[in-house]
Amino acid sequence: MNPFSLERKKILITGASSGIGRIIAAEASLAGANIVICGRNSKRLSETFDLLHQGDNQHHEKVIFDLSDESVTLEVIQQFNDFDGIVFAAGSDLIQPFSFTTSQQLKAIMDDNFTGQALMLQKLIKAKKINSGASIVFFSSVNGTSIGSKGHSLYAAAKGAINGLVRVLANELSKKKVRVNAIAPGMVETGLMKMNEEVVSKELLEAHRKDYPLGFGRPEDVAYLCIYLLSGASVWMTGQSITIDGGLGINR
Amino acid sequence: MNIEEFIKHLAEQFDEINPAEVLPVTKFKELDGWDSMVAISLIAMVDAEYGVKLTGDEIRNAQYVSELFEIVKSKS
Repeated sequence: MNPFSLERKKILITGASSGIGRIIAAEASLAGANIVICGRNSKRLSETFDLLHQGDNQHHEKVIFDLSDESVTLEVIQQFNDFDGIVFAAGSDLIQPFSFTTSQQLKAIMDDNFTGQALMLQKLIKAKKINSGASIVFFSSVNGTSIGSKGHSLYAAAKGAINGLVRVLANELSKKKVRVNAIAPGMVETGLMKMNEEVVSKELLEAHRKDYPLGFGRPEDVAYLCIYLLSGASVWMTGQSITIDGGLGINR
Repeated sequence: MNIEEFIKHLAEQFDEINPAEVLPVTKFKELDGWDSMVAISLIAMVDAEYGVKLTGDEIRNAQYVSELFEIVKSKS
């Protein structure tokens, strides 16, 4: 069997209503997985659902809920069967100098990028909904991993928290051969980048593009790394934050 | 909102600018220390003080302090 295949694997993808999460759902379905997508926006989640490849013996589900609502998360989790893979792709950014930070903003960015996902995984583990040999994939970023772009302090802090969690969980879950890794991408062309464009202006973003020897990434470019991490091809990979950045990091 | 107060807030986003040196006819991107960080500071300041969302393109297209003031005023 192709070691990169996701056939007969059941995979949960959060943040699937847009951006990278949506494309991961589509690519994972093409690789043969049974997909459960969740997200906050019902209409956009349905659009993702329509993108899923429907092969023989493949079964997909969609669940609309907000990760930040803990009681709902618990209720939803009880209905799930066990998973062979989990992808936490939800996230949000805020661009402003650190000195303007309010406690509400700090809480909101941490909730969206770290707390909601950490608590959901905690509940999945506690409820024993994760199969032996499963793969868990978080989204970090080059920000908070190897660089610190001005104006992204809270986002980078949340991504740094992801990196720490991944290392410890990789150790704690190794007994069941469960792998835990993070993908740390550079700039990918998504709605989040559009938000960047509005704040920092098109001109500056175009200048930033020149820092990338291979240009900005497409969601697919990141999704393929995620497929690898979800597949049996990556059984020896755990506790890592893997940078994928079109060469940004080596361009000095 | 008045322009004197706006200039005071704008000057605060620079490290070492005396507000008295900044006039409505000043080209704010020619002030000492202007960079992309000051630009996002301006956006954050305008949001915090006036509840207005200024965009990067609006800053890019404006030259004078008075222009920036008028944009914020028209959106508040």
